Amino acid sequence: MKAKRRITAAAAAFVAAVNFNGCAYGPPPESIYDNINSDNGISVSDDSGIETMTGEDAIDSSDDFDPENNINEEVYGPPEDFGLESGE
Amino acid sequence: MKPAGALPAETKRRHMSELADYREKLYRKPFLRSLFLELTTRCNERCLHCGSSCGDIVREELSPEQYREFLAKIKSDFGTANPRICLTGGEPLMRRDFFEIAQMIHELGFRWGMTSNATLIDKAAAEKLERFGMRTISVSVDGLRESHDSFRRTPGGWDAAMRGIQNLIDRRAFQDVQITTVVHKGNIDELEQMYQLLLGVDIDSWRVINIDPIGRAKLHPELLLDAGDYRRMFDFIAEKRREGMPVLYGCEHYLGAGFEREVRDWYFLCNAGRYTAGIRSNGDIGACLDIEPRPGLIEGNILRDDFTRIWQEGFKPYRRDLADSDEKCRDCAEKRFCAGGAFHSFDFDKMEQQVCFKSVLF
Repeated sequence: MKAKRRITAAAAAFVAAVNFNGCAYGPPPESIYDNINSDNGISVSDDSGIETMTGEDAIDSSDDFDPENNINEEVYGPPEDFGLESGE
Repeated sequence: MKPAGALPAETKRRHMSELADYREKLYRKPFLRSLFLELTTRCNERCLHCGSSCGDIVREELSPEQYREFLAKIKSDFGTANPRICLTGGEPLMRRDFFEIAQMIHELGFRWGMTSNATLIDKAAAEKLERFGMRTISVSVDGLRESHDSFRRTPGGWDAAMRGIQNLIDRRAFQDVQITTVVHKGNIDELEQMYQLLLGVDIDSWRVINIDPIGRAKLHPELLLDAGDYRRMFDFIAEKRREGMPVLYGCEHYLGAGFEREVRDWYFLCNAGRYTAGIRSNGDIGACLDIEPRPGLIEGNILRDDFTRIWQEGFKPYRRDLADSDEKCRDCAEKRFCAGGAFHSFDFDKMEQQVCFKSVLF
C-alpha cells in the first residue's frame, strides 16, 4: 500500500497557476508533474512532486472548507479520480 | 474519541453547517457528478452481503447500442467533464461485450472507473482496461483467504482476486487501484492482519466499510456489527490514517464530529439524487444503486424517458432531508448535519433510518 500522498505547496502553487484541479489526498494528475522540474523555478520534494506524510502530518489540519468541493467516495463505487477533467 | 491532530470539533461543526446550507442549494440545483451503470446483475460470486442480491435477481440487460444512444445524449446535455461514468454490476466483466461498452465510453470522452471482484482480470483484460481509458477501480477483498472465500461463497476467489489486482498494478497506468473491504462479524478480527498484508501490495488506497442491512445482508443479521465493533473499526481506520496510510471509510453514514473528516477526507453528505444517479441493467433510472429499487424510488427508464428532464425535475424523494420523515430524528441535535442519514440504509416501509450512530459514536 502506498503511503498517503499530498501535493507539495510548491506543486499546489503550480497547479493553481495553470488551473489544474488537484486534491490533497487524491492521486495527483500525472500531467501536472510532467511539467514540474527543477528548471522552472518550482521546487518539489522529489521527482514525482509528492511528499510522503507520516504521523500527525497525515491529518489535514486545514481550517479551509469549500462545501462545493466536499469530494465524496461512493459506497461500493470506484474511487474518485482527481485527474484532469476531460473538456467538451 | 477525537484522534490526535484532528480538527477541533467546533471547526468541524462550522464546516458541516456550511455544508448543510450548501445541501439546501443542491436540492434546488443538483450537480450530476457520478453516473452509475449497472451493466449486469450476473455475477460469478454469491456474496452474503451483496446489496443487489446478484445472482438471485437477474434483470434484462441493455445493449451496447442502447448505451451508446443514452450516453451520447448525456454528453450532449451535460458534457463529459461531469458526470464520470462508474461501471458496476453484478460483475461487469461477466458481459462478453464489456470492452465494447468500455471503448465506446472512452471514445465519447467520459472519465470512467469500475468496481469488480477482479477474478476475471487477467493480463489481457488489464491491458484492455488501460487501452480503453479506465482511470480508477475498486476491487472487493473481504478478509483473509478463508473468510473472503466463505463470505463470497467462491472457493479460490481470494487468490483470483489478488492475481487480478496484481495484473492491474503491473500496468502502472491507473489513477487509483483500490481495495474495498466490507467489515462484518466474521472478518473484523482480521483487520490488522489484512493491513499488514496490504502493506506489501502496491495499491493506492484501502476502503474499509461496514456491512449494512441491505440486499442479501438482510437475510444474515448475524453478520451485522455491534456498537463495540463499530468503534473498533473507526478507531482502526483513524489510527492507520494517522500513520499516513491511505485507509478510508466510504460515503455512508454520519459519524458525528469526532470521526467526521478523520476516517475520510470529506464530511457526510448522501450523494443519492444530488450528485449521483444510477441506471439499472434494464434501464430503470434511480439514484445510488444500493437503494432498493422499489416503486416510488424508480424515476423512469432510459428506454422511454428523458433522463436529463428527470434529473432536473424528478428525483423528488432525494431533494429533501430524510430527517423530515423519520420520527426518531425530530428532536435530534445532529439532524442539521446528518439530514436523516444515507438513503441506501433507510427503511421506506417503516420510514426510519436503520443505521444511526447516535449513542454509538457520538
